Amino acid sequence: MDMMKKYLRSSLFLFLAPALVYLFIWRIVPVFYTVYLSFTEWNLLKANAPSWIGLDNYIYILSDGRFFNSLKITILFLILATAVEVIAGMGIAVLLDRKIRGIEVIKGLYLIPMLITPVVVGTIWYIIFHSKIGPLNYLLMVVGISPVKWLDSPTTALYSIIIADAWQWTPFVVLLVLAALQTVSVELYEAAKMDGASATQLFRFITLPSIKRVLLIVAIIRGMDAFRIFDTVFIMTGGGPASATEVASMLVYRTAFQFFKLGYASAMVIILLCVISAFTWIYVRTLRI
Amino acid sequence: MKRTTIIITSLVLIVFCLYLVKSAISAEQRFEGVKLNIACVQWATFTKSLEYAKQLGKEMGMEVTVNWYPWDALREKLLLDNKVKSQAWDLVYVDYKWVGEFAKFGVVEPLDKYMKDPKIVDKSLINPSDWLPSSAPPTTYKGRLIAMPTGSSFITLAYRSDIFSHPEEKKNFKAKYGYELKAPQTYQEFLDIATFFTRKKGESLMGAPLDEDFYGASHSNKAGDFLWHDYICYMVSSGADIIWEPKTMKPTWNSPTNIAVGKLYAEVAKTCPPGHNVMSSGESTSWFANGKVAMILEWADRIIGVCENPASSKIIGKFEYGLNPSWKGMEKVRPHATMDGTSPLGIWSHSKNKLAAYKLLEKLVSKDTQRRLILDPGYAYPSMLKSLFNEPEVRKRYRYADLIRQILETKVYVFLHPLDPIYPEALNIASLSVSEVLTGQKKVEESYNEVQKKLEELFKKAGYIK
Repeated sequence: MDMMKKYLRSSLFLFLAPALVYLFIWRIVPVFYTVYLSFTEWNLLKANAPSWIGLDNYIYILSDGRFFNSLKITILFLILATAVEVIAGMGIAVLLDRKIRGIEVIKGLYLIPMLITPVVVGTIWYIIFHSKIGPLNYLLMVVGISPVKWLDSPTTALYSIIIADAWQWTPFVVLLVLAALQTVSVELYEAAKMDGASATQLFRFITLPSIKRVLLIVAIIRGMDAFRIFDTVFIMTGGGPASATEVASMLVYRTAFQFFKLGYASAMVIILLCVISAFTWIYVRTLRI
Repeated sequence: MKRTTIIITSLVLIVFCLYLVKSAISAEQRFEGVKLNIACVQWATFTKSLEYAKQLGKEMGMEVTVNWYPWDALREKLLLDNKVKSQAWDLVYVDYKWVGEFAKFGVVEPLDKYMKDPKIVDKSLINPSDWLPSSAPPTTYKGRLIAMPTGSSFITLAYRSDIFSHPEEKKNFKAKYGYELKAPQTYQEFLDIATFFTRKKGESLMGAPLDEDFYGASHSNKAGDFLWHDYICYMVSSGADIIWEPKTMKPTWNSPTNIAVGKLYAEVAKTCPPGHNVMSSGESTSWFANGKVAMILEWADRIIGVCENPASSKIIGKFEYGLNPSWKGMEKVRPHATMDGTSPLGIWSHSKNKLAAYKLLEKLVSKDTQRRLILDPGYAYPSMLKSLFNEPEVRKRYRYADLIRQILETKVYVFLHPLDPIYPEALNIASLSVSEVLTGQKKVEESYNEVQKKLEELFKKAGYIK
């Protein structure tokens, strides 16, 4: 029996080993390497190897207004985009959760934006929002509304990107919430209806509590994705106008690949990692997942 | 004996002739089978010229492949490829803002090694004395030419000559500003004229009501290089440093002169079309080509390619070229300050085919190729060869040829981008500063003072100042 257990344990380890090796090499080691680089100065063009400078990068970041601006923009984007996607996604999922003719086709069509790469999404919405040739401003003028500087104005550029992001990722929320809605027992609704519950009460007291955990998980996933946004911003505004949409990932990209300051970029990455981890921890603790 | 002498002499002559023929064939056939790779930006100026390069390469027995990249991605790619000593390339585009970096990090090989070697250079093909004086300096680093100019395009003024010559407009302008309406000689006049011609739908232009808004000027103010190319002309003409004082390396971004430039530039921006602060040069030029703008400062090749093209222009025959304005008070010191864009190609320092790459460049810049190229209807980029601009066919093709002569005769101030490797990063910071002002996020003094501190920190960290 002991031999059997030992044999099973070894087999288990053997089967898990490739995945563990992969995880270690491609996930764990790069994190530690990035932490190491964050304590070095390494301009890829000027030096062949990093040189240790201790906490200098972190001290410099504390006074780097551009970094804090990008962090502020990223957090604002995260909160607004996630809120819009979760609320809209939940609403659409509830609407789509009914047995009517053609609903499966509608569900399929609705998921298409999720399948498009972010670069293409950015290009599509860049054209839609374009001041001169964009159809959106044209339609606004047709109904007598003045054209809006969607991507040209620092006030509206970020919200324009949020619209594009919500268009692409709300279907993801819809998909998960729809799946969660299938697990809610029909008898609960029937019993509540027999007791005279209205549609709003059904939603508030049955649907919402039943899918709360899924909403939480979806919000965390979308939040983490929103924190890392890059492609759409790069295509639509390039971080402009001025630095109105320069999200953290864009600043890291510029620092690492345009100015080749790998040490400093690594320090930024570590700080961002701490920020998103803290966010997630607070979120989970507050809502008690 | 006589017979023997004749036979020997004949044999020697035959061998000599064969040697000459072989040398002539070898000069071309030694490149037989060579594969040349070019990394370049996909601009209209290059799509045609590198087609010619492929053809020239084929005639020399080479197979030439062009790999296109977006402009900003190309710099990063080449610097990283250079770091790993990649042999992927033979010829690469060298933007004049990258010259300092590329020279310092050995990305491209100086060309004088080939041009000064009598065994290599073919003087019938390459004649630097025929180049415009402004062609070589942008890609000359510490006295060595590191990339070959393959064309020439100045930043130029273009203005609506039909509007400027309209009697009613001339009368109204003089009444308002007290001087004659003509191509602006100073940036202050440029602002006056741009303000005068910025009109709303329904207002009159040339005696007829406008059916949409009309703008006095257009600038491509997308933060980064687009904005920079427009702003720098104002800055240099005023006498301000390009970001830092070259002798002391101290940033001077918030100098009183540059602050004055920023204020005037922001005023001109109010006369530009909507969306100017995210516009590229192409978009800005198309506003002018569509007849919605009175004046533009833009690269000549874009104006020629878009505004003189019937497929894309509504103003053919309605506009003229002019010298860039000067800054009031600096007319004698920095007259009509402008830049020459020379579409440079350099030899990749890790190339396996450097000689073949150089010989291809020689053919590309030869007078014969340049003539064929600039007379090609699909090409809009003027040549850097002075003598070509006197040829009747070229003058007919390029109305701009007269401006070239004016540039040469007037001895306009042609400036260079700084060649220091810190320039790209400093430029990025400075252009964001201007963009903040144009988008109304900050006032000029506030933005420029803040950025001055950032630049000082950058320069201190880089060891340029203490």
